[in-house]
Amino acid sequence: MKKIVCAVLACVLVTGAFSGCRRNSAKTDLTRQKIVVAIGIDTEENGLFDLCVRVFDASDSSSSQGDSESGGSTIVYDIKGETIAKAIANLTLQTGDEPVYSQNHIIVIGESAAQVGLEKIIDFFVRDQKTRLNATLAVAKGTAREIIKSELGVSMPQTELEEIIASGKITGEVKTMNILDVAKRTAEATSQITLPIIELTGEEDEQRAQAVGMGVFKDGKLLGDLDIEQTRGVMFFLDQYTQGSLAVDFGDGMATVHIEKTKTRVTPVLIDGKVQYRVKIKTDCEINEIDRSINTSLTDGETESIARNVEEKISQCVTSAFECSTKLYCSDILRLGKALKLAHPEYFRQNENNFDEVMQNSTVTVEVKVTLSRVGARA
Amino acid sequence: MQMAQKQIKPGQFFSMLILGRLLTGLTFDPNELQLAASDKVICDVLSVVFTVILCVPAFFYMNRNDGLFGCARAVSEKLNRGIAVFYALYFVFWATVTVSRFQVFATSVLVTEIPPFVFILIIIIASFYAAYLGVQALSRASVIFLAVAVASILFLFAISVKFFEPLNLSPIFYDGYAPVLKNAFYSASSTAEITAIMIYIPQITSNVKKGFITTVFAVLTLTLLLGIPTALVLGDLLPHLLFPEYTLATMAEFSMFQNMEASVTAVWILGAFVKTSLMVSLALYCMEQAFKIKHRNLVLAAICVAVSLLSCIFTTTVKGLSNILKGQTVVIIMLVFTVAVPSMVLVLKRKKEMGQGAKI
Repeated sequence: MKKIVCAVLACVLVTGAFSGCRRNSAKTDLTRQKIVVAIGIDTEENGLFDLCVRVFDASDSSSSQGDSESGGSTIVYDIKGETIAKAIANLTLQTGDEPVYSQNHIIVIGESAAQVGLEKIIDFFVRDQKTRLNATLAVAKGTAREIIKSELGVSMPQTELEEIIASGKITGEVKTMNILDVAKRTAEATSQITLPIIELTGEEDEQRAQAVGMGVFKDGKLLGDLDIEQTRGVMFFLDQYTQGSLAVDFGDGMATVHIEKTKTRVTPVLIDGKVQYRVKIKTDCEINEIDRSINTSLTDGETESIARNVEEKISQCVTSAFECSTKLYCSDILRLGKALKLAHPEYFRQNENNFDEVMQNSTVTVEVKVTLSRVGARA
Repeated sequence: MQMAQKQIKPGQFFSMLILGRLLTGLTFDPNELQLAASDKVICDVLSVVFTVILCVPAFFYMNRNDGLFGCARAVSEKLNRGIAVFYALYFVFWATVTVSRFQVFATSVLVTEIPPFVFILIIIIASFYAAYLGVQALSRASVIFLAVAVASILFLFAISVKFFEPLNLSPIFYDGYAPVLKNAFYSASSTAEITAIMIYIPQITSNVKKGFITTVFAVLTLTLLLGIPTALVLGDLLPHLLFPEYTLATMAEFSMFQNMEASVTAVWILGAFVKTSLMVSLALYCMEQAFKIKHRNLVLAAICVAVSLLSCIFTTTVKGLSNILKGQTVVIIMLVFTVAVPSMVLVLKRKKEMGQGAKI
């Protein structure tokens, strides 16, 4: 009897487990899934969210030709709503199926929406259990719709966009932030958000996306931007610079070095009631290219000069980023408040409410130590 | 199915308790007191310390072989029956809390489309079957479950290392000592496993003390392995998250494995199953001590139905579970069942022994 009951139960369980193969079920039939792969967010003057959503169309995935206007097997939808959640829910009105947005890897925010405020946008992506917390965010120069709709000359524009935003790991010139990073900065008392800025270049048929700097936010609203050099400075300051190239003039031509390893230590020090941030950066570099005859070898003095010039350049990047964020935008994108809170909790407690003033009066000293570990294959 | 004497090995028994305590740590909701990242880690450590302090009466029982009910029976049969019923209700309460917490987790972050009672039903049916087989079978299975849990936690720790940022930590005791100590004590008070030691001592085959010490260190290590990455990765966001360990797992990726939250979910499910089964088994054992039960399975089914109904009631609204799990309430329940009643029984038995000695 026991065996019969077990056998019946096993049959029921196995049948249930394979129910995904049922046809005509919106929940389980892959060809009826509307898988969101990129979301663009703009706002209208009346406060409505205007979303542009790129959706993977599984029913078209077997087609060899695909839809030329919709980028192979993806389709772009325009949807509107009072909130992000409502707008995404409205996608069902156009598709008839519930959208699956757990596979979404990129969210582009238009300039208009970024100026309204990120807090209204980000809550849905943090709260909803189906969203990916590691989906990357970017700000569009112009509207997000243009970026999402653009085919970028590739079959999978969403992947291209994602790779452009993640290119900071290779170049050190784009600072990537995902939803969790944004939520973390928002939770910190003084820290502010930065997002990479994406711009479309080229003619309509041959448009390409490009990262052109970093948008600086304050209290969730876009204030302005930092250029590539300053972005590099921010990444050095936050110890997020993994690798990248720098070109420096060493007196006898240009030298390009590849930065391989970096370690940054920031120590806030109180001097006469004001805060000084002491930044120590240690980095290992390899010479990539020297602008001179191939027959000429580098002298010890020249390698020393290259190292000093690289140190100077890194120092300039960091100082420029610090000055721009603290004095021009008065936005704590460098997590200065958090560093101060950890080092001098009592001082931070007393000055938390007027941290903008503290930040504007703060100074920075940058000490860079560059080690040229290799000079390439040439002597 | 009456429990035979001396049939649970200490390693198996304590594996069950470690899993239960681990689940308490994962699902502990501090309600009003929100702690910053570093304070949360300290709170986790202090919670284990407080749990050990709350185990002081249990230490006295570890020196004896008769357990709580054996001692109560030696004082009087009526006292034994009263205490047994009292403890049966206590374990029904904790089984309900465990099922409710798991149901909140499952319907908040796993699958929102499935009606809540389905999760309750699944875990209750599984627990009914485990309790039907007996605590010995459950403790044997717990060894394997614990191995899975440890592997998952180690894996999660290893793949979280790349996200560690020291700047995510917070100054220690920035908001004072009181919230940390209170939270640690509330968390320690959720450890219903302490009473399990006092009750099951007569069934454990060898040295309980050694197993207990190993358990304390194992719980501390696992708590730190979960707590440190959570603090170093989530930073100031940590107090705002309902299930921080799960959030951490959703971020962790390794090579082609992109959904590491599945491993944490597995630990969660296994922990919830083991703890619910243990609590249901204990409730049944208490009933067996209180009354001469002819239809054991009927009583077991009644306990499971009670747990299911109570869980459904508690989880109807968002605040339902939080309201019954207010810090002070849990502390009072803990002090009564883990400290006051066991100490009283020991004192009464000692008095009776002294009285008998004087007569002789």
